[in-house]
Amino acid sequence: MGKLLAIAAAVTAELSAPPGAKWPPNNLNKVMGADYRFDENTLALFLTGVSERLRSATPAYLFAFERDFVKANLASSVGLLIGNIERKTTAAAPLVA
Amino acid sequence: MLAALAAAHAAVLAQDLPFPPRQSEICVDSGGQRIVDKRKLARYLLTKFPFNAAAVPEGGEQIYPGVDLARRIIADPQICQGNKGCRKSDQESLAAIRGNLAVLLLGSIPGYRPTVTMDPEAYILGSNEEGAIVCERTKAGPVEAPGAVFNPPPKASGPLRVRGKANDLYIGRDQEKDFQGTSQAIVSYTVDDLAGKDTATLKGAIGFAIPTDLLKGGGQRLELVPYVETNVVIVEPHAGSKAKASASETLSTGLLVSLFLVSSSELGHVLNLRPDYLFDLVDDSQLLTFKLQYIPVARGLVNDFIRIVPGRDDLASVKPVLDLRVAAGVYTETGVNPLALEDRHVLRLGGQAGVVVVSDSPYVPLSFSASYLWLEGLQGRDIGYFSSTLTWHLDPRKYFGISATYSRGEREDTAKREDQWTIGLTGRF
Repeated sequence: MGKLLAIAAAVTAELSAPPGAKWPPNNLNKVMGADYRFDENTLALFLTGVSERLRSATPAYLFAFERDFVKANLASSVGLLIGNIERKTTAAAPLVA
Repeated sequence: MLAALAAAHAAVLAQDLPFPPRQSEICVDSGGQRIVDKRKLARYLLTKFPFNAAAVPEGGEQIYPGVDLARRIIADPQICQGNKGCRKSDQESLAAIRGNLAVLLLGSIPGYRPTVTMDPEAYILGSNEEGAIVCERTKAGPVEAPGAVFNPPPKASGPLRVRGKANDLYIGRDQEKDFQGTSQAIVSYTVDDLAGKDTATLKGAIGFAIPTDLLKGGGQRLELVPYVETNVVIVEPHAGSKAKASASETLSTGLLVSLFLVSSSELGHVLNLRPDYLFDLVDDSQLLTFKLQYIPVARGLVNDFIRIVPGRDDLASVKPVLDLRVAAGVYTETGVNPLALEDRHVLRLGGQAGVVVVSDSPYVPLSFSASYLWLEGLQGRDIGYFSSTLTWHLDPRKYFGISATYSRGEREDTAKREDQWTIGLTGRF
């Protein structure tokens, strides 16, 4: 599975994880803050969960983020959040040809 | 000018488009079933998330022969790297396109069933049948994906904060649902001819948030909010009335130091440290206190919003509220304050429990909060304070509303007893 699909899988898994699951309904148009009730604190925990899932995925990926990333993505829809995470994610080990 | 306005309006309308759209927009017949048409899908994504065509590097036709421009843009994840024509909005559009497409290819969206797992760039380049996404149907018709309309959120930020109480100044406006549950400043003037009295009320806190670069990693933060808070309630009896005159006038100032620390993906911790200096203008006392508040944030359990009906995102959400507090202080001026004259020192330990309920329906802009604060007086009087507020919000950003508040008990700041009903125009910012 490529990086982007791995991120999408990690984000959708976090959205569906109890307690307090946001999916279903699986709606890509919902906004993390306004619709899914994440605040700066809970979105930081959510992203920590995404980061942990990516680190334990095969192949593993590293996703590190800061407060500014959390604040900016309160206004992101699910799809945009996944795209934004992709831009901050790298392979955990260098890919060998 | 008109062209620019029209372009801006078109951009807003494009953002309002849902993704995925109705199946009729992107599905075609193929071999006895309906599958996603990749050209239509690419065109639709680029309408919803516009990408500046001038930023597309030349030579793409040779790399991807026979592939249309829309699909070439989506197929190249590096298109913005070292590309000066690619603006921030183009990068965001590309991120959103790739993120949305990835979830569709995972098979996470009802109504769309991928036949194989494929990366977006590989999928978009092939024929419709290569790695086809089947558009599912029932006897009743196409299975449409959830999400009718995408509502862009209001952009709300800025360092100035107005709340009902200084305790709530750590919550910013961009934390929309939490912001909806914060206390509101109130200004009201009530003429009560039956009870024979006039009541003027002014309650609120104003602060200025200063973010710091400390504790930035992993979404953690350290923020400073200097503030001023006032609480003025003046009751004037009418001539000949049996009502009693009374007054409560306090002004306090301080600095809120707010930290957020992450333990795991399930648990975070808010620590608020607040030195506060309070002037009681009625009895001329002055009180210096240091307050510490600990708020555990456990996802889906406490200090987080939970849907009242799981699986329904259009009804209401509830947030169980819990915190622990300690306050230590000294009256630097006792004035004629009987509490200060009895004991100059204050040391209290306890916490607050409560609930916030907010409507998720745009047609019912209501919120309700109720809380009970208990502080055991190791030195000074015990505090027990109940407060509940029902608000009908007047604007989509929840800045203003009409609120009915009932509060009863000993105030946390002065330990003086109050028993109040307040109905009025309220606001926070």
